[in-house]
Amino acid sequence: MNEETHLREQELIRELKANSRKAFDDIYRMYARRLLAYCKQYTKSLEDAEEIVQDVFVRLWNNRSRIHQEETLRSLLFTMSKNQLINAYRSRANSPAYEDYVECRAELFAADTHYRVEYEEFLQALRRALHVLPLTQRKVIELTRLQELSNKEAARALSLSEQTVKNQLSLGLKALKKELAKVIMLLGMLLYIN
Amino acid sequence: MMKETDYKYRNDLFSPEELSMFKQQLNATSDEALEKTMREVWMEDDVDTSDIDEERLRQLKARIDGRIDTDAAADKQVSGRMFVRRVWQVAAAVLLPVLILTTIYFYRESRVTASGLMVVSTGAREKAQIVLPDGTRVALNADSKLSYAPHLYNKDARRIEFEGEGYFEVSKAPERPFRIAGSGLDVEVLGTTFNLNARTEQPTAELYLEEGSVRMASTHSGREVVLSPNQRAVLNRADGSITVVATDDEQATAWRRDELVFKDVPLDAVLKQLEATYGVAIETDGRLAPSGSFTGTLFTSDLFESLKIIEKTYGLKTDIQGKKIVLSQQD
Repeated sequence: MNEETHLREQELIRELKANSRKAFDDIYRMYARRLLAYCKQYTKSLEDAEEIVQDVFVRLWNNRSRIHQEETLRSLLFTMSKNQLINAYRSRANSPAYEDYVECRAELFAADTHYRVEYEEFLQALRRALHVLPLTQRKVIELTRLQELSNKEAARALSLSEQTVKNQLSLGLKALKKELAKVIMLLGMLLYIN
Repeated sequence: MMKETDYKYRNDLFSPEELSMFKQQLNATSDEALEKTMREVWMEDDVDTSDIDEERLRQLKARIDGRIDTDAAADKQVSGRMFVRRVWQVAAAVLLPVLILTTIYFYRESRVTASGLMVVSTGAREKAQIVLPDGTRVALNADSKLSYAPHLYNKDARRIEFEGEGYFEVSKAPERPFRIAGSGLDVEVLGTTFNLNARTEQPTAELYLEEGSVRMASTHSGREVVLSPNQRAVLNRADGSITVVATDDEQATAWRRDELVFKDVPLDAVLKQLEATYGVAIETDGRLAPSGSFTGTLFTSDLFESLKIIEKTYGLKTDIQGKKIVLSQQD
């Protein structure tokens, strides 16, 4: 950070501590875009990222009197985001839907780098593709992949045996992949044209 | 966590095999180590902001301003007329251990009362997720209320008052027991996961323990029990007796999966439950007398699917007339 920016930040913190809403607005203008983009890279979901950024800025205002004058805004914003961000990061990275996304990308786009389907677009395509599946297969996939129940829990929820859930899941996933390929190709083409 | 791995995750560059290795690595990495890498990225690296929409940033700012103004209004309510300065300081101390909230309901339903209590409540057919200052997570079912004193909470004990139904994931802190005071009951835990259904208007209160250990006592009879995982304690409000049964979680936590689970429940009771869940009126044709109780799972988020299951089970047909549903025998 250059000297000028540093001085400007020190000034903003001083004004913020003196209850200046304008300083708060300036800080938002300086950092919100970058923080949102950064959080989204970990959460893979714009909405989740927005929730974190929203909470951070509300706390920044509410706790303004306790901010240390010497701190840089950049470091402060990270410190305020990290707990929520780490939780969201762990839960997304471990989610079955993200695994499906990675697999789907590997299968569909191995040879094609023209366009990139983002995780959120993938989820939309997945929801659309689910509708063509038979009801039981759809329910099994919704429960195990999107709501993240175990096969056992899903079996209980649907009053099916665990084996049936496994069978339906594997049938469903196979059918879903075919359908997804269609939906995503279409989506991809649209993106490509745009 | 290595920075290259982190980069690959952020940019969705893993192959399926790499992802599975990455997950193992991530789950073995401490929050501190993760934080170190993430901080480096944030402080030093370029972050691609090209797909962030200006309009959404503006809307987000409007929501932030809205919340700040609501909080400020709550401050004022607490401060009252006298001792404005002093109360202002207290109010700040009360409000600073900020609740992190994950649903919109909070913004509407939580408030700070004149006595400085933080109250989170849900209305009919609403649910909310909250995180208390110590990291304890609570999922509130409909018509439930949780309150605590932010300036006392987490000092030497973690005390809350609770009414309704909630799923608790209490963060571990053995030196600061987590205590729930409900009507006619008292629950103490150290760090664990459980579902508590304690509605004053119901004759019994139930606690289902998923993990860890919980002590539940009746304030009426003084009787207390200590539960092990997969046990359910049922408190009889009339005489303060508590029975413990082994169970599975299907029914206790069905509400979290948007489900209604029934075992041998008479059809009219099932229909009553659907009426309450969806806010509709269900009538049965006068000539209709379906016998036999119902066992199965219906949904709290899909009325039509639920009705279809009832239709099939009893050979009925449904006729939807606005907010009224009429069930009659199939021809």
